[in-house]
Amino acid sequence: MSASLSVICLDRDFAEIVSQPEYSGWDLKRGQGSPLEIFAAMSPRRVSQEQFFARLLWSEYPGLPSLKFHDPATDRLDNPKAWPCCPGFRPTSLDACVSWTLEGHALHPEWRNAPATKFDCSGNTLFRVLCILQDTIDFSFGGRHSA
Amino acid sequence: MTTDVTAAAPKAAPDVINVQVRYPAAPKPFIDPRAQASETVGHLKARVLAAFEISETQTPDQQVLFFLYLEDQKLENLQQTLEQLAGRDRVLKLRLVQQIVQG
Repeated sequence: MSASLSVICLDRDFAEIVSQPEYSGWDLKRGQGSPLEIFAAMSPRRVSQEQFFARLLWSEYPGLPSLKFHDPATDRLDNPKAWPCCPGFRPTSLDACVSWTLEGHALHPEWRNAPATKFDCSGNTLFRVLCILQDTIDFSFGGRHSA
Repeated sequence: MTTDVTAAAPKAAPDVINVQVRYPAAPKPFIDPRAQASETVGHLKARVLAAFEISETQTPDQQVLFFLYLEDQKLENLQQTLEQLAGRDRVLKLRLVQQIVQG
């Protein structure tokens, strides 16, 4: 897919999400560094005082995103303390070894075609990734990483 | 956009359960408004995995497993029936969670 078509597809999906009032709980922002970069602020449902700033970056959209967590205090992506502790998340490596990220599939190329781990890019991929991430920190949250 | 599974669901007949299973990685939830009340969790799980076109895998290096959850409760007793889990309104809202165990 061409870069411009990727941007058009992400623009469409982003607009669809932010136009739905029921999804206003996510504070979504477009990145300045790339037209395929999205920042999403979200909190675990039971720990609302904790807020995490996910940075999703696609090289091609729809597809698997790179996931990092942004530290708003330093405006950097390399602070392990900006990460929530969740299964598969590796704050000290600054990556998430899960089946819905680019980093996970880079570590496990066999996930790409396996029925249990292949990623479905149909529909609104941005929405799907945000739902998976929210679900992960809602139900599998083990606190903020304390490096 | 996916179907909103949080919307109020109609009550099911006495011998059936309205089952909704959300799997965030899938575009749409699994919905069976007429699941048999006597169906076991294990049987339902098999139907759900088939509907989402996924399967559990096991290799020497890793296991990819799936579990059904009712709120925060992991449904580990696969012999339990939907009747035993559903409330009075005969609606069962579950989540399917992927768990990857690396060797």
